[in-house]
Amino acid sequence: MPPWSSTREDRRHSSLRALFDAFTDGSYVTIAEDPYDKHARAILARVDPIAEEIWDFRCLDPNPGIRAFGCFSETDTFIALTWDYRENIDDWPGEVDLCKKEWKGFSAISHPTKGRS
Amino acid sequence: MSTSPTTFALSKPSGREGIPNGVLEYFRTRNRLRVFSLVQREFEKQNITQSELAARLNKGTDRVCHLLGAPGNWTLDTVSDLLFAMSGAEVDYETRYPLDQMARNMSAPDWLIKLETGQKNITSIGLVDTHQVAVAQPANAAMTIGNVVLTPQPR
Repeated sequence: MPPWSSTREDRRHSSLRALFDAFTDGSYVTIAEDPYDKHARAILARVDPIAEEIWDFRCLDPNPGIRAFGCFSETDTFIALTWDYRENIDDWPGEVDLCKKEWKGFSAISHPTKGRS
Repeated sequence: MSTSPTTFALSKPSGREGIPNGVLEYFRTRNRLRVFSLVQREFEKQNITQSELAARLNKGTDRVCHLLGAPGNWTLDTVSDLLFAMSGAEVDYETRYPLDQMARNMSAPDWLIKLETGQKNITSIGLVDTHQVAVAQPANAAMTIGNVVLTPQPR
C-alpha cells in the first residue's frame, strides 16, 4: 500500500496493487485455468489441485514478484487470503493448505465460487 | 472495516522531490494493463481470429497468441502493429490526471461487512504483513465495491 519507497519489495507491492486495481477497474486480466499449461505472464492462475478453486494473482515484475493466493467468493469478487514473495514459495501444496485454512475463517461462505465471470 | 482511497492517496509529483521507484512501478504496471485492455477490446470488437491477425502481421500464430496473452514485453511498436493489423486503428493519446480524481466510495460485500463484526483479526488496511485479505470486484459489477484491502493481525 502507498506510500511506496524505492525498495525492490515496495516495487513488487505496488505492482501487485496495480494488478488488483486493474481487476477492480474491469480491465482485461489474463487467466490460466490449467496450472500446468499457462502463459508465462498470465495474471491470474488456478492453483493445483483445481478442485480447491484456489487462484493466485501473479505479480511478475520486478522479477520474481509476488503471488497472492485466494478464492472467488462470488462472481467477480476475489478474496486474496495469503501472499508471499515468489522466491519464498516452494511448497505449493502447503500454500494451498494455508489458503484453505484462511478461507475457513469466512464462515459466511461455505465454498469458493467457480464458473465464468 | 477500514476503507480508504488508497490508490490515489499517492502524492502528485512536485518540485524536485524524487519519486520513489515503487510509485513509478505502480504506474508502469497500470499503464501496461490499460494498453493491454485497449488492444484486447479492439481485438474482440473486430471479431477476427488470431490466425488472421498473424497472417496480416506476417508472423506465426504462436507468436501472435503469445503477444495477445499478456502485455509483458510490448513496446509502442507492438501496440501500433497490433491495432493497425486488427482494424487500421491507432492509439488516440491524451493525458489524464488520476491523482486529481475523487477516490471511489469503497465498500465491500454485505457478508464481509457483517463478518468483520465477528472476526476481530481484520483490523487495518495494508500490504504490510504476511497475511492479507483483499477484496476486488469490477466497478461495473452489480454490487459496487471499488476495492478493499484488509490486513489481519499477525498470527
